[in-house]
Amino acid sequence: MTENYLTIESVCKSYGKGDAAQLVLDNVTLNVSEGERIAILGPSGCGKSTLLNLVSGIDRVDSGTISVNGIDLTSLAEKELTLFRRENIGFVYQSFNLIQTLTALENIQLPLQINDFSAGQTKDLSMQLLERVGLGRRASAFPDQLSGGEQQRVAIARAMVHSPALVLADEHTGNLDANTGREMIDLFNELAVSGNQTVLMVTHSMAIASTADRIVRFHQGRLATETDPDESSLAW
Amino acid sequence: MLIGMALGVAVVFAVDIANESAKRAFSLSLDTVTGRTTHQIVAGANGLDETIYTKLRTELGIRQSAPLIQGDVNLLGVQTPGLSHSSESLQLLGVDIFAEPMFRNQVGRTNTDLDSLKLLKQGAVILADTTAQRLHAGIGDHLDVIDGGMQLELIATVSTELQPGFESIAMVDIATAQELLGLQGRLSRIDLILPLPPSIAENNPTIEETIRTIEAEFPGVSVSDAARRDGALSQMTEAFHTNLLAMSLLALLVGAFLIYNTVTLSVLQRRQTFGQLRALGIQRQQLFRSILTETLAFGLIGTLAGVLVGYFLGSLLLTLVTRTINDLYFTLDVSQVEFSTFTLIKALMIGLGVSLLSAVPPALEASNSNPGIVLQRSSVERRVSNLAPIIFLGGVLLLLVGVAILWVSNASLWAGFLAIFFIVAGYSLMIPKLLLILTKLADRRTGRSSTLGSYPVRSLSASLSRTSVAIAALAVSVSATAGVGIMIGSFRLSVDNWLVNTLQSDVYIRASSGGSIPEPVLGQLSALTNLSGTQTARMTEVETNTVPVRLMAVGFSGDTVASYQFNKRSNKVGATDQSMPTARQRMESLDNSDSVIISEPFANKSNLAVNDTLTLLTDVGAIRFAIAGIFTNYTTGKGLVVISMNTYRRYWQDAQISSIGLSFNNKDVAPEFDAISARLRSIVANESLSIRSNHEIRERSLLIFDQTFAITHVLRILTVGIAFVGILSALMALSLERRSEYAILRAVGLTPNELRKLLILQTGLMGLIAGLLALPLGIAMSKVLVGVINVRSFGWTMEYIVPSAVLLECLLLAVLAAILAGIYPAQKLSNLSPSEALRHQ
Ligand SMILES: Nc1ncnc2c1ncn2[C@@H]1O[C@H](COP(=O)(O)OP(=O)(O)OP(=O)(O)O)[C@@H](O)[C@H]1O
Ligand SMILES: [Mg+2]
Repeated sequence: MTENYLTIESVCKSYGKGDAAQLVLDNVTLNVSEGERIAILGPSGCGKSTLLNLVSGIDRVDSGTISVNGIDLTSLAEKELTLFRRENIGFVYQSFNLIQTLTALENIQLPLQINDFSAGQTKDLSMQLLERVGLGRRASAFPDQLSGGEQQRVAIARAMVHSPALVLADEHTGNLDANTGREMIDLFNELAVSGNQTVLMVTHSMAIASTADRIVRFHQGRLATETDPDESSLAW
Repeated sequence: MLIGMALGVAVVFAVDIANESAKRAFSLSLDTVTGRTTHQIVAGANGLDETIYTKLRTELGIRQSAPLIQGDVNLLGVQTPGLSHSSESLQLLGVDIFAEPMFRNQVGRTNTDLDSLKLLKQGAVILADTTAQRLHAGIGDHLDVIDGGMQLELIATVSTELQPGFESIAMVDIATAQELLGLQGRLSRIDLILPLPPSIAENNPTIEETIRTIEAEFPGVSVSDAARRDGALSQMTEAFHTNLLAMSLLALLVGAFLIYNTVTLSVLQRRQTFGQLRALGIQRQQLFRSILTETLAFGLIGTLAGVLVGYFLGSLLLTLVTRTINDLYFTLDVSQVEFSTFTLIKALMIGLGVSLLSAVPPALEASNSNPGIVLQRSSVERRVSNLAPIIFLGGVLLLLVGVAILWVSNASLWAGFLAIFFIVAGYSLMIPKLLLILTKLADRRTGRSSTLGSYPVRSLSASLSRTSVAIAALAVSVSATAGVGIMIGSFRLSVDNWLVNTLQSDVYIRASSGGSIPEPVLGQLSALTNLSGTQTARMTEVETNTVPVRLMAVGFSGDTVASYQFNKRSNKVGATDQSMPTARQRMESLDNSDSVIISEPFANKSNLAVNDTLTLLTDVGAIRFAIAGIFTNYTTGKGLVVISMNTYRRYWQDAQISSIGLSFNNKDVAPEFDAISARLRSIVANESLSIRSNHEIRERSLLIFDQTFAITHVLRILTVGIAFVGILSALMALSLERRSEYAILRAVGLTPNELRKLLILQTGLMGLIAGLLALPLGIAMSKVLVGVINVRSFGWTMEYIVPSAVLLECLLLAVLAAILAGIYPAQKLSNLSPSEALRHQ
């Protein structure tokens, strides 16, 4: 396990300008080692999604640095950043964000196609993963023909299919009932552990957070506490 | 939003007012020439003898009569430092100032206090004030007559405010006109006002009696109804206007597409707001009503702006329209843009009506949905997809109606236009389904090859309500371009073939209009060495029992053969190929009998066929000639009748020659030909004759042809331009709806550049599909244009060819228009921040 695989160093981020400016992330610092799974907890609006967006590079920091595996993302140009993201980062969103015009299988194939996998590999890998998330028989279904839980499985498969080193998940169980959510998180963890992937996941559920290696609490844009899940489960 | 709506309205309005203004100017100009005249005394080719007029007034006591000479004149403007040397081609009107006031009242309305006797002065001319301005001429200035070897002095101007029809007229005294046109002692016609007032003719003769008296007194003249002559003339311009009207119908269709797109786009942009309003408890009907009210308000502003833009666009078009009319028919001058309230109301109705209608579906959708469902655009699209086959069937039905109209209508002009309209409308309705089929096909091919698999193709069919409207708009305008392009291409080829066939001599020498080639020149020409044949012609104008026609008497010698393309189709009698006499036989039969051959447009318009007879007013009275053949002719204006020189001289006391065509041996040897040209120039020097080679005439004719169709180019570009805006607005709507989807692609790892390429690929694909869909429609349109509308409106039949270049050009045009329209949305989308777009989902 490499120490400091992901380092977030004094990151600040605010939205809006002038008087209306709102400081969302205030000097956030966090180090994550390779293969570590971090759960991020915090009240609504405290900046959790913002942090994930910054790490994945679809948004930019105001100050501070974020580096992954020694590469400083904040210094990369848009194109390099995108190329880094397509290869090294998988993202699961709360609202699934599947492409409606593509089938389940085609959605999963997207990252592979973008990463120039061969047609054969693309087919094999995506089908394999679809089987693993239990949707082998719904390969040609379109997103709106799938249930919420099924859609989320497709989203997870899409985030993991090209084996990115870093997986980000933003309340990916928030839209699901407790049972399905639990199932989903187990599947997610299983995939991440078997792929030795580093994980940042945002959640509101203590139960889900406790499946992670470490829990980080956010409060008003600041990192409040870091706890070991075992301790925290004692504390609650 | 306003731009789209304004443009849609502007096009419709512009084409309409250009049409209307030209039409009004035409009837005004005709009024000025005809005035209160009820009847006209006319005679054969050389017009009337002057003495007829004097006798008419003195012996018959018909004082309500006015002599008139009509012709064309080109005036050179006064050279003014810093201004280009302008020239105007005008209708020369030679009048008798004493007889005039009764007939035409413009003389009483001159700007300057005019001693009307001044006009009697040789070379005095009255022009419209605006015309004088354009020629930079003031009162007392002298204007050169081009090709006339004479100067005219401007003695007065007529205000176009009072006499708008005067704009294209140069009024001179009879004597001046006679000299200018070389018609000494002759008149074009004598105008009459019938019936005669009771005080003058004691026994109160009826109109018929008066006509009979006149025709009995002067053999060889005939009295015709003024209104009927004008009717025949205006019929011709009518045909031209119908062609323009077809263009405006097209503009209407494309304009409607445009407005539909803009309105739905604007409602769509705010679906979220509407959803929130609903969630806050605003009543469904309230929301619906407020969306419609707002659309109406915007529609009103957009329409008014459109009318304004249309007005300027219309004046621009107008210059082009009148240029075409001038090229095609006669001199017409319009500087005033006119439109009726009807045109205005029509434009307003289209603007407001179409906006309201297009606002209803999205307004219903927005007011029906709760915030959750508002985003489910895909559900709307699915409904549209399900509707596509039904719409398709409706389209097929309309298409069949169009074809049926063509079938039963026996090629009437209006039916032709109606059929085109139905075919276009029907075909547009078929486009959504066709698009689905095409994308399904394309999906199978690209699914494996493209980087993003099926995505680019799939998303086209997934947004059917947007893409199919954009594609339909583009397809319809491109097909119009193709249709008109094929028509013009076929036409041009026919004209060129006809020119090559008809121009058999190597060099043509022609006297200026109305004049003749002097005897000594003719002698010198026929004495030329190397001459292998000649073809002489006398061009005059004669009266038939209905409309005046151009009469061309032709004579041949040497190896020059008569060269007319005889039209098989129009020759209804004995139309089997074996019994058809050859062109040569036909021409020979002309020499020995009282027969003529007539031009196809004239035959079509006057409903004449081979073996029918045509009455011509000769110098020895009205004679019936048999029609021996109908030949292809693409000149415009009055009908053309060809007679043999021998026959002509039997009936007309006219030994003059207006033009001579010379054929030479060894003409292909360049130095010899140069020598011949030099010799010809020296013979012809100092005479007002023009020498033109076969090539020159052909080139000039084709040039005029191209000029004539310049306006259709402009209209074509206009429609494609509008389709371009249509696509742009459809793409904007699409990119708005698809923002989050593109954000996902960016988040998954597509670079901005790759996304841009993807979007351009998509719009290019839309263009390609539109182009492909446009081809069959374009070919169908050109078939109707060539087969029905041109035969009907111009009397021309022509060959039909589909130049592959035109088809390719249309495909390219469609793809290019689409890609150009795609650049802006693609640029905007690719620079979008993904996090932002996903947040607003
Ligand atoms: N693009 C933006 N423009 C303006 N404000 C923004 C933007 N993105 C986020 N914010 C603001 O930043 C704050 C943090 O938002 P963020 O989405 O990170 O919260 P969150 O912790 O994920 O909350 P939740 O648990 O509700 O998802 C919010 O107040 C939000 O309004
Ligand atoms: Mg969040």
